[in-house]
Amino acid sequence: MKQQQIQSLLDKYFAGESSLQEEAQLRQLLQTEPISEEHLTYREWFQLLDEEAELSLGDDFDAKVMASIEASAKPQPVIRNLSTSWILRIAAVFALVATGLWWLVRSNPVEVPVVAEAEVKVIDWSKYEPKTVEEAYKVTRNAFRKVATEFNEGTAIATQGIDKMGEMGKLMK
Amino acid sequence: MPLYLGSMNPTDFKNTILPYKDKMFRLALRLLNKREEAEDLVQEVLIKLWQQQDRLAEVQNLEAWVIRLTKNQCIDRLRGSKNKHKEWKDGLDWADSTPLPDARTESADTMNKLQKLMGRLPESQRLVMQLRDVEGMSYQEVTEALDIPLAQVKINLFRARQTMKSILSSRTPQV
Repeated sequence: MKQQQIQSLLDKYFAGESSLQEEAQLRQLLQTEPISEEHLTYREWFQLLDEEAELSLGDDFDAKVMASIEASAKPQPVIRNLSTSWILRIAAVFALVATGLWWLVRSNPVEVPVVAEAEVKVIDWSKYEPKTVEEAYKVTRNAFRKVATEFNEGTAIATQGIDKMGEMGKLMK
Repeated sequence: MPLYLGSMNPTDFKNTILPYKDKMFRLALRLLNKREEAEDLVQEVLIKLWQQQDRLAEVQNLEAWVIRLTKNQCIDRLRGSKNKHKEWKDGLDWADSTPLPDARTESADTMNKLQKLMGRLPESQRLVMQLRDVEGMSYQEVTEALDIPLAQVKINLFRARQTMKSILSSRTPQV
């Protein structure tokens, strides 16, 4: 009876039609039941498969892998490469720039052009209404001229400042 | 539904991924045939898995994914060695009876015997047989792990078992 069951399960197994449960049953029958000589080779086959399923890596493998993983999991400290000498150099540059600016402002106070009260009134657009096109043109032209003059004065002051900074730089070298 | 969402710490990794190491190892051993090489490869795959843990959010079946990565890594390695040594002939070359060079435990005898038998199968059949008959995986699990259709899994397994049947029936039992 058991022999027939074994043969039937073997047939299903080799036809690729057996379920996992049937395969487990076949293994158990081959191991526990008295079997015919022709089935011995199949018993050996399933033993080999079972032994293969027992192959494993040792605990030392786990330790090795976890050591690599834990090492990579640790937050990497932010390495600051600014040495003390560099910090001192940067501080010295800041100090020089600050001293230079102070000296510049002190030696060349910027003269703010005083705008005549009458001129201010002329540019008071909220109250002034030109009567003719020519008059509007003249007022607009004067306004642009005033802006251009002030812009040029500002540029001249800035250029003068930059030149002085350049001279100071040369002196520092 | 993804199995793992969020970042993983080493303990999570140890509890969720590391338990697959033996299955990975046996598969690698079946394909590479060298214990040390299989061990190195599994370590390599595990570290890659750790480094790519953000991809875990997309994984539906962790076991299948891990097995697939291992298989792919083995195949890459084999193809690399084929290019280097020109010894690889479509997965059929090491089907001979050459014993494993690093046979050092009682398991080595099993490995050698299985190598002799399963080594005669093409790679595709050997993979299916390994996952089904050694690892006890269902057809569906094998399908997902190897990323091939269910019908192909069944055909490969049928052919592999038919080949085994003809080999086994012509052998004298040794146990």
